[in-house]
Amino acid sequence: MMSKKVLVVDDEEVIRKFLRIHLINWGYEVKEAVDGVGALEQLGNEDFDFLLLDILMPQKNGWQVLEEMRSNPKTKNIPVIVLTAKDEDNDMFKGYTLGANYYMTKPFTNTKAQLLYGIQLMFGKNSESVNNINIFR
Amino acid sequence: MSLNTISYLIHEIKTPLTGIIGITEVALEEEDASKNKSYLMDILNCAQRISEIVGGLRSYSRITKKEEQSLVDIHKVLEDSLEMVRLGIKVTSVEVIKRFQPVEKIEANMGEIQQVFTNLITNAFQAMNGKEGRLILSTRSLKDSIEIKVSDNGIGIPQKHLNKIFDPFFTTKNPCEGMGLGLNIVYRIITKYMGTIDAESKEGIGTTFTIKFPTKGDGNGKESIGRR
Ligand SMILES: Nc1ncnc2c1ncn2[C@@H]1O[C@H](COP(=O)(O)OP(=O)(O)O)[C@@H](O)[C@H]1O
Ligand SMILES: [Mg+2]
Repeated sequence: MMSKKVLVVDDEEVIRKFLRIHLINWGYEVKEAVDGVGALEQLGNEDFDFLLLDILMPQKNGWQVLEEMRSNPKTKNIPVIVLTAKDEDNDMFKGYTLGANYYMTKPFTNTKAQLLYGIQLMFGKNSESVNNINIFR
Repeated sequence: MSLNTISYLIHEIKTPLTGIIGITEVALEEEDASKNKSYLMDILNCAQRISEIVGGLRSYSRITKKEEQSLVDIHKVLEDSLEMVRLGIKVTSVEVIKRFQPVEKIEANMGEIQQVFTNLITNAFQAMNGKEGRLILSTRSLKDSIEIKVSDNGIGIPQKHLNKIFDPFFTTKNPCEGMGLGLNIVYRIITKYMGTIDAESKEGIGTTFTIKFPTKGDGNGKESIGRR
């Protein structure tokens, strides 16, 4: 089975680092972008199974990325987990109306369980995209 | 402190906090002990960022407190500030020119006045970017104020930034060099003593900050016309 590809978008290196570690352990192929422009560029060049997307970033923020993704047929249906420190109700609602599939608010605790929950929510427990992850090993 | 500032601060603290928690979760499960060093370095870096923010906030809040005042000798403060900055920053070759004229002492909190000049001199040194720098510190006495100029031949400030540099958290530097509180603290201290500060700058040529503190008016300076 070909491994699934994830794009991790965050301007903060250490946050990308631990997300990458979990995803690679679960067998995903991980690509990274440090800002919105970089993310859109990679989305244009490659196919991704899903995105982890920060909101407050230089060079186009996450909302702009989400909006552009959703209006482009190629990327319209790619599931997105939004990662952000903006955790007020109206921010979350904005995220969902723009087409976010799941929300993780910083600082996250129990990252693995939260990520897995989001992934299962997007793809279903037994979907191939879940990559047979069992975090409760 | 405005609500905007507070939510900015919360974000600036949450980001390294996310790093600390996330990396710690990974480290706790890591069986290969040789990897732990890199995780610990990440955690340390993030913690230092938070501690810098807290440090910045502390000096920010200190200004609002009423503290002990005395008659402050500006020339001594300039010398001390220069010394302090030199200890903290690797400065290669900066020529320092002092043009001091006799000026009155001002009644103020010594620590605060020193903070004004350490912040200004730090910025000046940082603006020189390691190249052959020249810093001019000058003082003179006006009719009812004393004037201090801090002038550098560094990179300068683009016109479009000039009206933002005194805002809290406005910075063009990376997080290790500054978090954009320096000039805001300077501004708040100076206005607390009814003083004024102006910046003049040309990109590629340098920057001059002009500070005035009011005196009781019995200074030995000549008349100054049309100035306050
Ligand atoms: N002497 C100077 N030369 C060039 N730029 C300066 C100078 N002083 C201040 N600046 C500009 O103003 C910004 C704000 O300065 P400051 O409030 O001290 O914050 P920080 O030094 O942390 O960035 C700096 O990031 C820089 O862009
Ligand atoms: Mg500064």
